[in-house]
Parts: sequence; C-alpha cells; structure tokens
Amino acid sequence: MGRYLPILARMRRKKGVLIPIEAAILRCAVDLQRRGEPEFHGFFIAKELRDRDEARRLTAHGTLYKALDRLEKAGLVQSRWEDPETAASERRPRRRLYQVTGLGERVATESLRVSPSPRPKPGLEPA
Amino acid sequence: VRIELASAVTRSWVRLYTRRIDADVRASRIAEIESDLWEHRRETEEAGTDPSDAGLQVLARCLAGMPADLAWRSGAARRARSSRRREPMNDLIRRSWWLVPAVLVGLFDVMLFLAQLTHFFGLMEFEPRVGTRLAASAAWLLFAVCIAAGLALRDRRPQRAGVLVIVGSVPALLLVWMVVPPLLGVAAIVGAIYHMTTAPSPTRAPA
Repeated sequence: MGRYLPILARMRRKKGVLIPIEAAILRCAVDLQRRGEPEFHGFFIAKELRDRDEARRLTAHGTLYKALDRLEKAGLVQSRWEDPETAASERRPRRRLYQVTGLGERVATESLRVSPSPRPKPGLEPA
Repeated sequence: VRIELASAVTRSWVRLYTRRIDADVRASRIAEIESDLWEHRRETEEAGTDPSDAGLQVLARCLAGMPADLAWRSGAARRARSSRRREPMNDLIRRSWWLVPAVLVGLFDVMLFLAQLTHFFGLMEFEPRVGTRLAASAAWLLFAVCIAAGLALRDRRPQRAGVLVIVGSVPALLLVWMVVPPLLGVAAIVGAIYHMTTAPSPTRAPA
C-alpha cells in the first residue's frame, strides 16, 4: 500500500528512531538524573517538559504515556511501581517510577549532539 | 469545566480504550492515569490555579492524547494477539512436524504407483513384465494407503497410526540412491515413533 500511497510510507515510523517527544523526555530525564533525581513519574516529567519550554502545555496523557511505553520497550528507560506503603502513607495513588538506563543516557547524549535542546531555561545554562 | 468532571471523563476514556486488552496492561495504564490525575490536581491546588482552568487543562490533555491512546491500544492488542497465537502455534509445530515428511513419502508412494501403472515407468527401467508391474503398483498403492490411514487415525489411535506410517515409509528407505525419499522416510518414521510415545491415549466414553 505504501507503494501506492507514498505518504503512508513516510508516516510509518522507523524502528529505533526517536520522535521529538521521546527525545525530549529522554533528555529531560537525563537532566533530572544529573540533578540527583534519578526517578520520575509521568506527571513530573510532563511538568518538567512544560517548564523547560519544550512544550507550551502539559503533554497530553496519550502522547506522554505512549512515548514512555515506547522508550521502555526500546530499553531506554525502565520502570517500577512504587511501594504501596509509601503511596498509602502520603494518601495518594501509587506512582509508576521511571529511570533512564545506561543505553538511554547514551542515546540522549547522542540526540543532544545531533539536535540540541531548543532553549535552556534562564539560570540553567551550563557555566 | 470542573476538574472533577474532566477527571471523570478522562477515567471513562481510559477504561474505554483499554477494554479487551491484556488485564495487567490495562490495570497498569488505568493506575498510571489515576496517579497523573491526582498529581495534576495536587499541583493545581498548590499553585492556586483556577479550578476551571485546571479542568480545561485535564480535558485538553485527554482529548489531545486520544489519537496516541488509540495507536497505543492497537499495538497492545496486536501484541496480546500474537502472544496468544504463538504458544498454540509452537505446540502445533511440535506435535505435527512429522506430518510433512509422512505426507511427502505418501505422495512419493502414489507417484511410484502411478509410474508402475502407466508407461512412464519405462523411463525407470523397471521389469517390463505386466504381472510384476501390477504387483509393484499394488504394493506402492498399499504403502500409500497405509500412510493415509495412519495420518487419518493419528488422533484417535496413535499407536496404530504410528505403525501404519512406519509400514508405509519403510519401502522409501530402500531407494537409497534417490537420497531425498529415504531421508523423508527416516523423518516420517522418527516422527511416527515420537507420536506413538508422546500422544495422549484416547479417552474412552464412560459406560
């Protein structure tokens, strides 16, 4: 079908290629790791992305969790469910905590080299 | 839009698009969105955001993510289907691989039967006498019938089926100069023995 509808062939995502939201999440997660926060949950990364001005609004649920799912399947992040007791003690639902893997860190560094982040937030520029 | 209403819409949507996929995957996605909604609400309260603005934000996040949700669902359903299919397929291959060489040997027997029966056998330099031809022809037909009967009985009477397939395949071993038929015959015999030793005994109807 792609032969007859070239646009479909172009739209099909290649395996192993990060789309912008995935690259942004990965870069953001690596930054968090360097700032001493190795684990993050979905809403936290959405907020970070918004604050870094990589997105104007909070990333949509579907877009965010599909991207995280794909990153996990690619071995770039790993996840675990938070200890239920921790969540219960804070009277909130359990969080799914993500962490960048070694491979994810390398891929993030590479993606930064190929296409640098849009604009660092004032005060976060490297010295 | 009240944040409670937007959250309820989001929850309903998650429950809708995660229907009929793997239960663990569904529960995980529902729990993750629940956590996200809770965190969003807490952030709104802490930041003192207008609740109706926050409700709009939640609704917008839900609506804007719908295409990605549907794409994710499609992938999750496909993975679940393929994992469900893979196990029975492996089992089927393990139980039935030997049918392929057995059928090929059976076809080879039929081919020799026809070759003996028609004038084509002349190319094979067989005994030209009619009586011998007919006897050989009948023998090959019998071997082919043995294999066919063995294949037909393999589920109901595995022991008898194995013996029939072995009987039908042994003559192919004699034609060593043809290489492929004897190899297929060996495979069919090994498979038939495997079937005889591993197939479950047929259950008898209670009296």
